[in-house]
Amino acid sequence: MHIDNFRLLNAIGLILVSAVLCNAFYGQFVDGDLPCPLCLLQRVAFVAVLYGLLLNVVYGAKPLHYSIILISALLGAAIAMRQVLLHIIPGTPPYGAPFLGYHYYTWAFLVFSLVIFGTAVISAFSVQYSKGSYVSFRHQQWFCKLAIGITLLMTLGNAISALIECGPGECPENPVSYKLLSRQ
Amino acid sequence: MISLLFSLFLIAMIATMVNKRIFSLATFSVALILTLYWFNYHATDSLDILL
Repeated sequence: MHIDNFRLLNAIGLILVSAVLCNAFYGQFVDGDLPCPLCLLQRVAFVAVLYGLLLNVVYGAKPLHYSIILISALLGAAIAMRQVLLHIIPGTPPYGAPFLGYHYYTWAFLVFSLVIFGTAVISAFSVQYSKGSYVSFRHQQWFCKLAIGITLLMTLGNAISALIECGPGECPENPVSYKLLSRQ
Repeated sequence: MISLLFSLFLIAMIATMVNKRIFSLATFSVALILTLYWFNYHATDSLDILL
């Protein structure tokens, strides 16, 4: 497999993880499910995974970048598992509407597990580490440019959304309205 | 607070794009530590499970 193909593979990862965040936005803005603090922290962990993938696209694949992806995905899986544990107690209602039979935090745990598995497999190909240097945005392939653009846009969108929902301080445990938009 | 975390990751990404690798990694590290702190803050309630 050619070295540039690993950049493309990581760019595909950027698109896939961005799609997960996009789906979370769909639940928030179309279905009206405001994310709780733990839900937002899972999104933060997805953004951290995006950061590791972005490093691989910009600088070429390096073990450090894959470590960043693994650490971020492990943190995300821990946050998602904590929320699953909160809602499996009998008599405790789930948070938000289910998507294809599972709630978002369950999906998040499954996706983080897939990220860990995928990273463990892809990082095993040592040919990708032989060389690799900084490639500016201008000199990236069109698909990588698209993936980078979507990644930056999703991260910015999450920063703005979290600011409008929670303000600069702590997020409410069970949010029902956007803090910066409510007139109280 | 959580918007600050997203903003820090965004800054780290932008620093990567302009080839400020060390600054980018430092910002990522700060953001990751703050995320851990905030996770600990939101997840230290005891689970109401009787075994």
